[in-house]
Amino acid sequence: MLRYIAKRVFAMVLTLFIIISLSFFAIRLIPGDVAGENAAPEIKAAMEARYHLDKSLGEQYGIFIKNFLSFDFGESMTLYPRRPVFTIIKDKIPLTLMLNIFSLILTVPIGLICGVAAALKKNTLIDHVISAMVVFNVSVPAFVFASLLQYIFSYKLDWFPFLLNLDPHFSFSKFASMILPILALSFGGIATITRYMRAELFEALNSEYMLLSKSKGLSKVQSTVRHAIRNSFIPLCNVIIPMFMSLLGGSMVVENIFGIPGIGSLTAASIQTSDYYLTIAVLFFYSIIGLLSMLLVDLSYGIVDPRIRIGGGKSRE
Amino acid sequence: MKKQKLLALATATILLLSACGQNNTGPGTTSNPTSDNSVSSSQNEKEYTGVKEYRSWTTSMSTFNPQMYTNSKSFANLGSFVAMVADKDGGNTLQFVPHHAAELPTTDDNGTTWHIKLREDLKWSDGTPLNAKTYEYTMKMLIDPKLVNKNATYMFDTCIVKNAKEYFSGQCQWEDVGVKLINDYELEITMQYPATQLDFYTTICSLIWPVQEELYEKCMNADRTSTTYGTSLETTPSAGPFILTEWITDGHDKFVRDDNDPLVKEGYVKMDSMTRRYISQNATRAEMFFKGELDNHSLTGDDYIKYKNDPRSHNTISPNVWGYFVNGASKNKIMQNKDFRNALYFATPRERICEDVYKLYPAAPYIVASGIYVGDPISGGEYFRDTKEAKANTEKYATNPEKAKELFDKAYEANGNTPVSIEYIYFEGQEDQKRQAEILQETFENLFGKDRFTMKLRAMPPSSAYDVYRSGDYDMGLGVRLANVFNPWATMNVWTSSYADKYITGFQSDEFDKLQFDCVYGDMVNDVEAKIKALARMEDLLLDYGCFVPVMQNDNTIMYSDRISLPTEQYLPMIGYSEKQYDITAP
Repeated sequence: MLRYIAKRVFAMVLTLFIIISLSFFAIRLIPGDVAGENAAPEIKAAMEARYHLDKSLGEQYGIFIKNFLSFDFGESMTLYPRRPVFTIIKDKIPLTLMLNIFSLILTVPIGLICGVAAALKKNTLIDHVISAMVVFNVSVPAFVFASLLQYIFSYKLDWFPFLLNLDPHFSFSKFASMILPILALSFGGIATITRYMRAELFEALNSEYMLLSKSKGLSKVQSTVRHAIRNSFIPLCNVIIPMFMSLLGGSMVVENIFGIPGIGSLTAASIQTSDYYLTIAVLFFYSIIGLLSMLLVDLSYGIVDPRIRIGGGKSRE
Repeated sequence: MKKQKLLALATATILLLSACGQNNTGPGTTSNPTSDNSVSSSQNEKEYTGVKEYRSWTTSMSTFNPQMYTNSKSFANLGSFVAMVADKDGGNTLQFVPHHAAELPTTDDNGTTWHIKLREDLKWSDGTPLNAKTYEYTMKMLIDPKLVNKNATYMFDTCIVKNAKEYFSGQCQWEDVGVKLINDYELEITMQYPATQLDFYTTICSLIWPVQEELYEKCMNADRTSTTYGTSLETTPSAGPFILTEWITDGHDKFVRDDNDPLVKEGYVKMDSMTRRYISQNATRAEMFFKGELDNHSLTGDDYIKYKNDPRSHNTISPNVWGYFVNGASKNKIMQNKDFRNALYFATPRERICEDVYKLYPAAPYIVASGIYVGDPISGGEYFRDTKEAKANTEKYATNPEKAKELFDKAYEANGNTPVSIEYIYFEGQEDQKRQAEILQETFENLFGKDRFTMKLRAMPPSSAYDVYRSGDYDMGLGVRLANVFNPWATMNVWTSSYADKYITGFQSDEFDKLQFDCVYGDMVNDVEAKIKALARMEDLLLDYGCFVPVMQNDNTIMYSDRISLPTEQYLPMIGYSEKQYDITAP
């Protein structure tokens, strides 16, 4: 197991290096101007020299890799001038993390309950209602949900504030201001979990081992909970674990609509403003999240289902 | 019982009639010139003594480092030598008043050497003294060659401080720069070329905000190439009419009035505090404004159509004109033909584009916008477009499809009567840009004939488009060159032959170059009449060559809530409606 993890970590580092290198070249090839359009020629020249943009792409890459390996990720060039890029990411994570945790607390149980209910009551009114909700949640984009929630509950009904309360201390009014963004963040996740859970559980309920468990005298509830649901969780790991990892990710649309100064819009904003160092740092951050979640998904299979052994030696004949 | 019912009915009838009567004798009554409602309203305005908080919004505030900022209107927490304010007596005029300076700066040699005397009691909000040394350090850091501050040009763009550009390029020592500390409360600034009072006040005196030396040095990195000054609340000291008390990047900020500031003491500031939320969605801003949670809102789309004549709506006048760069040096031979370029100019359906697509923006058949002011706003200036020279240009270059057709026919003949095709670049990802491109294409092709003229449309990101204009590999494309409200001659430098960051259009004129230099640095610096004529001539030269087809001026309309009282009814150059001077008349 440890050997397997070590191998995977090495592969992760290699993948990260490739991602970062590709990101560097891709971002440098996007046209843009660090000094901004209409800046004086003297400023443009000086800014380009400061960030080595006046050198060849090969030289720039050399400098970049050298700094990167010494953990010098540089400063923001345009979006948040002169701030170290990791300070920017670090400052934005707590708010995103807090909202996403609340969102997951809502998403996972509701998704599982709806999925289980739909599978157990397949082809009944309950199943149809849940399936319609899933189709609706999957098809309607997050910005439509967020805007609708804001329009109905803030503008028309005046139940919740328009924007997130940025008071540093947690309070009831702060929690109230978090409800709409949490709902907006949750709809998509609820639909995804429901859909997976329904499909997997329905398949499990019709399998032979369920017949065996019932013939052994287990009640429907016992056999469903102990066998069917547990087996349905294996493919669900692929969905739920990345959701936990994306706690750090944020949502550009929801954050923009509810005035949340989180990490969601950082990638798009940094690319738009030609903030090369910040863009690479954000991509690096997301790459780590992605690779770690993949590793966790693989490892979790062995925990959820002991029959799956990862990194073991040759099986005994 | 019956009697009781009748009595109740009679009472109800009397009450109803009396209520109707009260309505009829309300605002329409002429016996009392001042209606009850207005008295009550005006009493409320006078009587309002509660917290006066202005609730505004912005889309971004990335730094409070005054040497790196991109949003100049955000520095309510810092003062400068001179402040631009609306007249206190409601005269709807712009005034220059000494702020950190004890009196308005003076020159004794027609604009080359300037003396700035500072007030002796100035302090940062934490009690640290602020004096001439502070400003000397600020200027030194602003153009420091290692720091490469974005706003260093304030010392060598419109007004050039002696050797400032050389120091920024690392070609001379600080001692050679024209900034001299006379004593703790006096600075002497020497210019490379004489500067007008207006230019000196609106650049050096208004745009250079002080930095606190001790904190600036504390935030500096080891090799002195970067400082984190102004990147967080802790590293952002205040020395202006307001103190920055809260700031979450991309979240919100709050400023509280500083009663020790000279402008506050003199009664120019009435608000207690200003809060700003960072809201990127226009729909959210609109909903919050109409719900009474924001005090201003920029009108767009349907809201603009609905509220443009509302008394709460106020127009802003832009100094910039958007249009099409036309490349007379293009490899496409037809673009080199002046008649053809002029045909494009006269055929451009700017009025239709503004009416059908942009709605907010007025059509602009001129390069110098109507927001450009010539002369001194105090002693007697005017908007350039109101001058007879500018009006002559507007008339000469008005949209004229017949003339366009005539010019195109000439160009077509000169091209050997062979069909011509050009490419037009617009900015991708913006629906209105696409629509205006399609209108342009349809108008040109219908006017010139589809068998003789075709126009291809090409979408690209703005930064790529500008790069293409620099390379010269284009025929025609959308864009803008920004202009200085009070010194349009300075910003005309982008069209001069020696400008280092030109968009290639093929335009080159010795007459233009000389006029531009003489107006900014030469013989005409202090001759407003001559400069007006020169500006009109420069515009004429550009339009005659056909290197830029002006289309629209990006004016906006802002709606203010009823609780805001503006210090001026008229939009004033540079300061607009003077935000810092707003008064709050209701909770």
